[in-house]
Amino acid sequence: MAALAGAVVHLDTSVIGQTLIGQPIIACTLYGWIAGRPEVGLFFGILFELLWLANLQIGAAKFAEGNLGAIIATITACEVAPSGVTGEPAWIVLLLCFALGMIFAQIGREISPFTRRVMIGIADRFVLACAEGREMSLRGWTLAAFGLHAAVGAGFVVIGLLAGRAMLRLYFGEFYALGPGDAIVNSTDNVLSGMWPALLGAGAGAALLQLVSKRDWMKWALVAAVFTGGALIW
Amino acid sequence: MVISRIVKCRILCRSCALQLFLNYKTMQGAGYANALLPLLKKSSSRESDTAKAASFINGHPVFSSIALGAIAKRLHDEPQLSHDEMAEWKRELSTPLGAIGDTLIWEKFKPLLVVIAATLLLSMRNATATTWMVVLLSIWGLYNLSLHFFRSWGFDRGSELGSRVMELALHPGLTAARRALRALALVAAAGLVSVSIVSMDFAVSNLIAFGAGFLIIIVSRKLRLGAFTAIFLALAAGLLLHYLALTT
Repeated sequence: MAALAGAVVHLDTSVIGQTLIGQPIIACTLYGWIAGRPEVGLFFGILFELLWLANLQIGAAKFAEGNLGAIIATITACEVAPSGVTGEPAWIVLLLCFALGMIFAQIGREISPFTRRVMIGIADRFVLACAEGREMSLRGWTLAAFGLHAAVGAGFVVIGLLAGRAMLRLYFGEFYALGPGDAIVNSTDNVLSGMWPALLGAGAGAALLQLVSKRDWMKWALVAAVFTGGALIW
Repeated sequence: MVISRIVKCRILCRSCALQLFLNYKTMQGAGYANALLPLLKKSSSRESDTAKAASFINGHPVFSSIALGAIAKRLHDEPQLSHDEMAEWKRELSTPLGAIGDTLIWEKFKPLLVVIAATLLLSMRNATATTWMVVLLSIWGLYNLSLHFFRSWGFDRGSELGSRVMELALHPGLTAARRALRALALVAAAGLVSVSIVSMDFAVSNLIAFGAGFLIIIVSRKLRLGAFTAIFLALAAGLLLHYLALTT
């Protein structure tokens, strides 16, 4: 399922459709829902979506593969059982998986230069087949292009998942699916519970920077104050 | 030039795979040839038209429908147009296609919708997962339906205007769309902050961590820090201040 998720996310993000299904808020939440851990999916879906708001894939520039990083974090965290202490995903697990997602997003910057270089040959052959009217070749090269992208997305996510499993096993020193031990949860949950508000704040800041130009910041602050005041009263 | 609805539908469906062959040599060129294949198959000068369709071009995938319509018209109405003239015109088209599409859709419309989705999900965090999926499906449907209608409109305009397609950059609808998106984006960004604060039940430690994360991201843009660095700084500061607020 991880490989399929990786292929779908990578294909939708920058190859076919760009329909939003590869975006963390949909991909991570959907994956979590299917895997029976919807709260984990929602957690990473919201955070990564907001944090990557300014990560735009424009032109020939390199960009972090934020969507692939997000799905790697989600898949890895969904494999760890809820904490026996809190009944919820332990913060230490969420933090480690978040870091894993961020790191792999950065490593993923090399994906698009790689595929675009390989695609020069495939595109040339496709255009030649198109010009000469060779239908079977057309289909073949189309499948080759599709297969390359799907394989890259799937492979990258599987590698990320394996890295995540190795990291969690090293950290917890036992079979990761059982989740971190009570001692680890008890000693880290308090400290690390600030992760959610901190990253949510960062995401809200990213949203402000992306959506609102500086000249409108006063208006934004006024509207936010009105909304918050209204919520307080309500 | 009259393009039947079926052929138009096929071209627009194929245009969803515009970036399938994205490469550093022709960027979306091969994708354009792929999208226009239903027309190229019927062309009497298939080889020449394919070469013209596949030359360098790069722009926003959704705005490509405008270019596809314009290219289709020029291929049909101007068979005397040389490969170099077509390539030059397509290069000129790339800049406005990319700039307008990126600023409208990648930088405003898409972020606006995902921020609205995040705000709704935050406010419904106690709802069932099925409810979350219904919200996401609605946002997904809204986004794709809007873009579908735009693609169809864009193709029709492009195939009417042909070589004059860049006149669309002055379309009054663009200014109206920018104004509307600006207003909606402001409300959405404000709503997100408000719902985030309310979702933390106004706990002081959480508000401090939230504020730290928020401010660090804003300041790091001023300092031109990379996203990776900024996010980890925000996380570290938030965790530290949250812990201090809890323990003091």
